[in-house]
Amino acid sequence: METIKNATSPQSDLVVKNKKKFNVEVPLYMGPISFLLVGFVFAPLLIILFFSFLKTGLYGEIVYEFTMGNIKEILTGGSGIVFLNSFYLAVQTTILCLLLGYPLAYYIARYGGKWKVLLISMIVVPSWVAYLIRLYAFKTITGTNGIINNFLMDWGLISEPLTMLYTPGVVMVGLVYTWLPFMVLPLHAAMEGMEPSLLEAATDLGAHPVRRFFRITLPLSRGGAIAGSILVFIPTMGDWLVPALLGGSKVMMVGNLVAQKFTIAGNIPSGSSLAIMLAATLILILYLAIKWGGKEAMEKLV
Amino acid sequence: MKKSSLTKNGLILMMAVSFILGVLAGPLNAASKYKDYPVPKACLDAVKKEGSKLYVYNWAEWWPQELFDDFSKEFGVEVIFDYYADTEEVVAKFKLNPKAPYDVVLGCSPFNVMVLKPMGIVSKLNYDWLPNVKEYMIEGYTKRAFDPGNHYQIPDSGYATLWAYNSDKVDDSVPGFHTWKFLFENEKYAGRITMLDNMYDVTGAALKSLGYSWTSDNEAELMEAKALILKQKPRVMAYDSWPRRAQVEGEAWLSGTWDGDAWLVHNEDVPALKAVLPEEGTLISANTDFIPTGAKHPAAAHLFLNYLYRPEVNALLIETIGYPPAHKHTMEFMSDEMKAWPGFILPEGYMEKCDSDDERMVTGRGKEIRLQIWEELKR
Amino acid sequence: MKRKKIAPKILAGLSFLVYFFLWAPVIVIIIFSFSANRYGVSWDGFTMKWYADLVQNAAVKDALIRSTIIALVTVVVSTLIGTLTAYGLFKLHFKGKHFLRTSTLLPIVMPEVVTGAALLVFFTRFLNLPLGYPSIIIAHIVFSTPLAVFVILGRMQRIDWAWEEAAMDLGANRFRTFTRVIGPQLMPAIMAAAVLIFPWSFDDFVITYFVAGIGSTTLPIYVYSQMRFGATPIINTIGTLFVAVTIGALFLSRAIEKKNAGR
Repeated sequence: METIKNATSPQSDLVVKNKKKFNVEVPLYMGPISFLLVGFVFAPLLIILFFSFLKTGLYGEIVYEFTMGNIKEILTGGSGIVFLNSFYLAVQTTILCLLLGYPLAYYIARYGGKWKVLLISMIVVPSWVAYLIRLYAFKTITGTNGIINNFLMDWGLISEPLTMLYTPGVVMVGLVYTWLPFMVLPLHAAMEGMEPSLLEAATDLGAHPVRRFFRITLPLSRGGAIAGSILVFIPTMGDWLVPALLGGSKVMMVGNLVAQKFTIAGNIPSGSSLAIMLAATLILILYLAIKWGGKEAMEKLV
Repeated sequence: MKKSSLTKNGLILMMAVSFILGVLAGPLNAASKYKDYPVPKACLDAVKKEGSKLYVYNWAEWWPQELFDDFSKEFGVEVIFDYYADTEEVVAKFKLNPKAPYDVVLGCSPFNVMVLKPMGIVSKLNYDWLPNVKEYMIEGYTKRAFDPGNHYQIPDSGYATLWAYNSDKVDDSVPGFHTWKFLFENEKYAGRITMLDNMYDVTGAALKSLGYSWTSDNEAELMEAKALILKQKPRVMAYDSWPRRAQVEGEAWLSGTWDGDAWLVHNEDVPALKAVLPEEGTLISANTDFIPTGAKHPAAAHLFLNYLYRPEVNALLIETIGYPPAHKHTMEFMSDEMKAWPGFILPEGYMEKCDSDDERMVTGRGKEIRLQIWEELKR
Repeated sequence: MKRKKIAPKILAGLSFLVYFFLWAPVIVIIIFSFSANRYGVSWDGFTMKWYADLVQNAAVKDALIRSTIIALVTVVVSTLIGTLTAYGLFKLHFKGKHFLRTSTLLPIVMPEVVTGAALLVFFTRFLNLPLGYPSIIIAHIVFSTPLAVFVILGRMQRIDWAWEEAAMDLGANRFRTFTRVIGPQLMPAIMAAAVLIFPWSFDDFVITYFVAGIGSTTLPIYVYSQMRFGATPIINTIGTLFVAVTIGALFLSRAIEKKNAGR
């Protein structure tokens, strides 16, 4: 964490320096958030870190004895493969979101005009409509007797229904669908900040539109792209319901495995160590992304 | 209707129930010919003293809501719900929080009780406050090895794991059809099969199909079962413990399921759905209710369990959930079709082929290996 | 010159497809909420029956009230803490500020499964807090406050800080200035944060699933339990309700923003 802080932009530098400093103000303004972070973010993480070194008894009850067994089991056992699978799926999802989200964000930023707010709202609104219910609708659309199959059969385009539901393909579509808005919004924010005069100047100087795009638009939207990728990648990695609902529970992602350890397996130490490993992996990835993407990514993150 | 034998309250209740259930009112009405043994006054006083509340932990949307509503109305007890989606969740919740303040946990399996009892989470029942249960429990249910005399839990119904098929789509005349082996090994219906999304049931069924015990903790046997399950996976459409939608939509033709769930789909949605009680045998167990030691309203919990064994209440429950009753008289009021449903009345000698609740499945190596199989399957 | 005209059209076409992709499930939900099909999965003729069922369904009503209360409390507390924090991060200089700022990101970047699991263990094994309203609300506040912080922080740059100096020159202390002068100017940002947080909290499933307890079944948890049993058309009507509420909230926030801008 220490190193990430260098990447954050100290906005306060922009502000008129106020020489009068009352120490009492710091606890007044920063007290509540510090309490929240220490009490309900760091403490719970420390607790599960602690639990991840504990043993379990015959009935799966927690035994207060030190062991490295849980961590070792994750590193050597099957969980490693689940980790890699999820990673692979999350990378694919992120790339697809980027491919779909980039043109859309660009279109809104460049040609949205007075419709901009509406166009942005139309991305946000579906993502606010009960996540679970939308996934359920996906089942209705892609099922054997679903909308797509019925449509294609009615038009005589196919004679046998296609199998879409419960395939890896539909899991991917579901993941992209769920997290796409999180890609578009930071991308749009980054592009909106671009000076139109910059593009015009480039055109006036005779820059080819393609060249203009690669030289100006793309580098300037890099921060947004990285922020969007982080916002897509992390929740995808931890996703749990899409593989269960659309994938027919045939493949587990890390999120499923964590959830399963806490619920079905009832092995809290083992679940804790998996959760800690997942968190650590993602923080590492985040750190690398920020290091690579620089501070503009951090600014666009929210 | 034999109105003369009914009290006024009973009549109102009956009218409400018959309004809701329409044709089903007949059997429920008849159930009231058996006597209700009320709890002693001491229990009712204790309920008042506790504050007339009942915290229920149950499967979602399974039990009839009117059963709880009527209970509330009759005894003035406020019922507050929490739901779980898998009984293993119950175990996990109590492991984290042994004093979780639930008053009564409904619809668990004996396996959950076996795991929770040694941790001091299951409290002993007071049979003075359960006169209906004492009177009406089917005798067989009181003799199970894990809790002889039912001192720590009572079954509200039985269950058998089996599989169901759509008889419009599936040819059931092939030899060896009525077996676990067919479900696991047929290639004809690849992509039309759903299996329960539950490691105990899938491994158990595979073990039975191979001729072993459902609850085996023998590593070699479990490895054989694993091979069978992994081999079947490409033919499985989904692992889904509630394949109802897939059955209704005509997507799933063969589904691992439980007798009661299959009955409900057959009865309400897909008449062509039939169930197979596999020839190799299966797991015969019970839907189990218990009172945790963290309960703040144990008297209300006893009152409720006793209410559950009131003949007409039990008949309403069984009609709704579709599982074989644990109440002596309830079967009398069920339709002939329901009685004939696989799992309700077992064929002569079938029970000997079946396995029952055994701790070795859910503890130590038995559980560990199953978890490993499950993780490998879902990779 | 011709290329210049084609590019926007291709982009428009692509964008339209993405919009279609995003809205298709929502439209399916709305249409099938009026379908007579008892599973809500195909069109069997028009009916309002499911809406009548919805109105009468006590479990849905309870869940709806619970989710609303939880979301409202979450919005109020997290925007309050968020405003204080954003102001502090913007104006004050103190040791450990960078660390604090970075830590504030942590709840946002943590996968929900991890947050949910960690809080579950923490509440039950460490605090001995009974699971229910308090645990759900705390969990939601933990996630929402950072969102509020960063939304409000973003808008602070656009505020006219001369007012603050003027007020402080006139002898008002900083906190008073903050509540009287800066607060009102931040209102649009606070509203924006609220509009972001409310639906998130209202719709959260994963974290809530871990930390929910007795009598605290929220709407998403109710929907989940319904879906497992093969679902009923009520799900579609709840979904349609979500669409209506979301669009309504958006209009409301726009109206407030416009009114504020007009002043």
